[in-house]
Amino acid sequence: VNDSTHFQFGRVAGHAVARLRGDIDLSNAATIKRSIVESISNHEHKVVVDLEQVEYLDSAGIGMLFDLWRRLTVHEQELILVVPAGSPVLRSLQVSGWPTDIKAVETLQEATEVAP
Amino acid sequence: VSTDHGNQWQTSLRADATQLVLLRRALRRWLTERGVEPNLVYDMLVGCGEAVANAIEHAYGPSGGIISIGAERMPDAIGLTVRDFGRWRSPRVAYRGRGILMMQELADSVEISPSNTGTTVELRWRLEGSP
Repeated sequence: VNDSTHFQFGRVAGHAVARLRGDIDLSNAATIKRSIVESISNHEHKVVVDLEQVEYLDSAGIGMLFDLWRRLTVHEQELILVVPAGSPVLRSLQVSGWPTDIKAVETLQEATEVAP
Repeated sequence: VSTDHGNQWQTSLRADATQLVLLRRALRRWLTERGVEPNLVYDMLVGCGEAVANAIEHAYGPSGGIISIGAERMPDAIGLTVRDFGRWRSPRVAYRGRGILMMQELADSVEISPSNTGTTVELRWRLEGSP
């Protein structure tokens, strides 16, 4: 499986946005995290990870999001997740002990509008 | 290698994370064909996936091993069984324990039975409106 099918990086309203899609599990979570981290410049205040197109998320994927959040927090960068209501991702997060300190919103628009 | 006897399905796979997506594809088809609704299918795929991921990470050394997965359609429930033939090492980092928490939240019952010859995880979901 090509990583590019799971990960796309771009800018929306001046903010760094990583769009993930497909299945995120133990087989690709570490690679996806590396791709995100390598795409983020030190100058970003806010990093949006859009999970709207993700069809499956397991505990390795959730652990990856926590690692990413911790890493960004150390650099005083904010992580915002896009997690639509009723999505598979929301279900996985809920049964894993969500909510947490990680900020999550329902749409990409909300994510890019939240004050930095 | 998979066997399918209508209400019972059995497969085995290498203890390798790249096998997870193949297992999900096959199990999704089997559960859907047995009338399990999509949201519940997702819960079952995640629950079973966590049990298999645990076995991949903790049961075997670098040389790997085999994991056996069984599914059973009972009159009022679905049972999924994940069996490995190694010995679980304790999780090294805290979040790995999240998989077990998720299984417990997702399934109506979870039984983890370690033994000298391997570990068996049994997950069960009651089916609403079953006769």
